[in-house]
Amino acid sequence: EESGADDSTVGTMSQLLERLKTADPIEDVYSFEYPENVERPDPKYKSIKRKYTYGPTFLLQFKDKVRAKPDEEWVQQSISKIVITPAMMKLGKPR
Amino acid sequence: MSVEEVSQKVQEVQINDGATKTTVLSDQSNFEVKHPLNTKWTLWYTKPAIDKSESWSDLLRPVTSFQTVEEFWAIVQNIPEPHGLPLKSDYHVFRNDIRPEWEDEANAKGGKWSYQVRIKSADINELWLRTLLAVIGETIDEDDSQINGVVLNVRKGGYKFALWTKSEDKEPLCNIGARFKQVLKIGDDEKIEFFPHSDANGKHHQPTITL
Repeated sequence: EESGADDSTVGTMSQLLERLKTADPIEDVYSFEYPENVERPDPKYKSIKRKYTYGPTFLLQFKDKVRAKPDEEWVQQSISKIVITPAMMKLGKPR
Repeated sequence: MSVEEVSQKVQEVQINDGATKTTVLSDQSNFEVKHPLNTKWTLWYTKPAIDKSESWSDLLRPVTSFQTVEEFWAIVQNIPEPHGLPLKSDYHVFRNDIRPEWEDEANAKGGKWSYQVRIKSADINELWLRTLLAVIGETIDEDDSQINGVVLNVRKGGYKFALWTKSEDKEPLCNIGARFKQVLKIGDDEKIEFFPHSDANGKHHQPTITL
């Protein structure tokens, strides 16, 4: 089944995290066979000592491919700690 | 080799040929492989103090952690962008469980490259994203991983970016600093400054490197 970018097919954050638990880690991103429409990682960022390096252009391709709706469980565990109240926003903006 | 064995072999080869596993780039809901980061990263938030009774430790909180490219993007798209943050708040993204404080053992012997964005029209959201991608993708760091974390302060005078390092070693830090300037699109006429944490309590906190 095709999963498009429209909201009806976007899962929740908790579902995504569950899925990631069972996904296998890529071994070598520089030799991995991506489909033709994917821009491969630029080998200039290969590092001898660090296993996983990703250039910005490669990373940007994930932006529209990983979308997840915040569900209550995830919000409670994480972003509920980013407290922003209307009173705080009244303090103004940086110059 | 028997006929069965041969056909078994042929089948195995065919399976292996078609064994390229799917990533989230081709299938959002049924991907089989993920893109790990070298280390776990933790996002911290500093809440602006509303009354004076709130101490630093009440205000600074770990929000969430991530260790894959996939998680990073899902989180980034579900949290406020820098432009939506109130004055006196901070975002910090630090390796593993390093606390974004100079007292943390991992930071004690290091320092930070610091830059305050002064240009009014600067798209702060884009600069912050560029910085995060360079840090978690490890394209701004050195082979011996100098970078402990990155900080964004939202202040009246502007947005301040800082890259926290584990050492004060001039050579690797200058390489990182030069790349930091590119990431933040800073021209040759503007400078970034390196401040060692060891001097953070000093009265005359002066940069030890300027680039």
